Amino acid sequence: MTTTPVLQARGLRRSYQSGPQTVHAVDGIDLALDPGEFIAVMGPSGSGKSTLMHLLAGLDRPTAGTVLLDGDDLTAMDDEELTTVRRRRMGFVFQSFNLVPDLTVRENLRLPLSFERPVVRPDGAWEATLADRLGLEGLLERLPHELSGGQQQRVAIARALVRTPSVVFADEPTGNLDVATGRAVLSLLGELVRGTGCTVVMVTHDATAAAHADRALFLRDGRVVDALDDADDEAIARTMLDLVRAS
Amino acid sequence: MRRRGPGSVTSLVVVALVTAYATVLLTTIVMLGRLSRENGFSGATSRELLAILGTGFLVVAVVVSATVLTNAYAVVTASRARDVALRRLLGSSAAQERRLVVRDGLRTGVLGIGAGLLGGMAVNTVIGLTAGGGLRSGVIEPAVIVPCAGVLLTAVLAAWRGSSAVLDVQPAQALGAAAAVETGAPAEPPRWTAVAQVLTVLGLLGVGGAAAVGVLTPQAAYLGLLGGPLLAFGVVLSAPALFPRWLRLLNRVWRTTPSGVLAARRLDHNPERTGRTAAGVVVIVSVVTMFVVASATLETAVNRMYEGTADAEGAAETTMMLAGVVAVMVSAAALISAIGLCQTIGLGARMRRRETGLMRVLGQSRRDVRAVTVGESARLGLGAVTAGLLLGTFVGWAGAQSLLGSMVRERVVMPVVPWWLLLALAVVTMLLAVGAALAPLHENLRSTPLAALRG
Repeated sequence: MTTTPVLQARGLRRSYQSGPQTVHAVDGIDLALDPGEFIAVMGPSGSGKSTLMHLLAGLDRPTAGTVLLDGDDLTAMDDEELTTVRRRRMGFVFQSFNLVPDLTVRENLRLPLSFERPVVRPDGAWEATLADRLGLEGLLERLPHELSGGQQQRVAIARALVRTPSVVFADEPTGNLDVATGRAVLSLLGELVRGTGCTVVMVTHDATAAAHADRALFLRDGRVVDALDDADDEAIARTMLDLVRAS
Repeated sequence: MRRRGPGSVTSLVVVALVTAYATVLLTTIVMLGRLSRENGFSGATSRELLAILGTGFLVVAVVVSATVLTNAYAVVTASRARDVALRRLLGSSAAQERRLVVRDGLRTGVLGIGAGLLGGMAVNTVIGLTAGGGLRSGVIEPAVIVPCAGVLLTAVLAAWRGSSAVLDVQPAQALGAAAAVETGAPAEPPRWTAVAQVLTVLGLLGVGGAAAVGVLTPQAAYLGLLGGPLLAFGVVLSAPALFPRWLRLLNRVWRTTPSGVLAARRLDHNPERTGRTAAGVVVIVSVVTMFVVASATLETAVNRMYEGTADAEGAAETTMMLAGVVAVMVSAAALISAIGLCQTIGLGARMRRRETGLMRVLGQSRRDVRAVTVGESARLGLGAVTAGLLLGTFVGWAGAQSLLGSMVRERVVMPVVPWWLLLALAVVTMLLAVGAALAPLHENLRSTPLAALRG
């Protein structure tokens, strides 16, 4: 039985002018992700991994190629439609937690819901489950600045999952966390997405973080040059090193 | 500090405006004094009246510009934090950085005063040429050196006070990674400091006392002249502590929408910024209200006093001219405040770029982003406008009472509140506040959410 890929990229290209030169940040990428897959996108600086993520999330327009989410063409949508898609079908976790400092944890969690017009009532049961699994009970009425880095990142994850999106995009989610906290946060993320069947695209340069993924894709100069399945951190680190040495 | 940013231009304009204002004001007062003498309208009272009003206007103008200038420097300092951090990293000391800002304040003051004097003299020449007959006015009064010195002092003090944030900038902030992890811990609600309390109470006593003593003598106006600026400073310093409470009170009456909740929360969690912006609006609204109420009350009372007497026509003419002069001068003060208001609100909105970007990434529509911004500035504007109207009406009536209380039969002057003028004032101020917040937002929303998130 073949499953329809939840996220697809075909002939994706993104170029821009930097002074007199043309930079090809993404130079022809094809991708197909199945529901429930957890992939890590890796590569040295300037490899185009962040640009690729932005294109897949509809945050940036490709110079050429298409991006399909659940079969819908993101590249044909206007800003309002993309905003709606991001609100309802995507989740985002960033390196610097990006919680709104003026809102409580609960309100931050419900942010994607609060943007809906007419207003959508929160699913109390799901919210409670998320809070429980991510260890956020008792913190719901606090403000972000009262939380530790790990706790803030867990709130961000809960926010990303509160509408059970098709895809969660994570940009260096452990970048500002110590090793132990980072590991704990990623395990939680992995468990939760396997439970809900949503897909995770994680951009990272950290081999230990990437080891949590089912598949690791390696980019260089805007193209996918290698892929590893269910690899451990050593194999990933070695591949990264070879990649850097080869350029 | 060589690049002239938007803050520097604003400061220059404000200093020039206040100086031009003072120049024109002094010349006009002398001219009016001469006119009323020629009219035969009781010279002593009208001269005293004009002298008091004139001084009052000047003091207010300087107070208003002090607020605006301090805000301008605080805002410029905040926006240049990264530049300052870099210079500190490379070896400049905090004291040196602060001295640079103060020197800039001095430079701006001197340039602004020069421009203002030239402008004021030009206006005086035009007035002298167009006004016929015995209304010849000089191009400049030597007494103008006093307000000029005051303005220069204000500019330097404002630069010094507004740049105090420079001392808090850490060199490490120039290293990008550190800057990324700011969680923006909100400060505890600011205390109503002893200084602010004392100034406010003294100010209220001075103004109220002037109204009371006004039953006995018009010299009571001088008491009000003392109380007024004290009250103004008191209000400005009390705003961060008191304004959020005032807003919370008004919130009970205000219908809440989802965007409204976010807007109200934002205002509540940034009391320093909210208070500072609100103080500007309260000052402009109360100043304009004060003069509108005072001149309307005075005009009515004076006309009633001279009703049926031989001097009635002369009195009516003088008071009408006075009202006209008041209107022009109030407009000048309002203009200065409006500039400051737009700048503070505008920069606050610009500093929100990152947060706007984040919200749009998470799926907030452009319309909703605008709605929250409008909600926030409307709440702030309405709260400040109501406070300003109340304060201005009280002070305006007290001023009129202190001047004429002793001369009317009932010993108490009835306050005349031209409600349609004040309504127009409220509407214009609200439009300004909301517009000043939406303008930079328009810029933010045009780019992709990514650009805002990065930068």
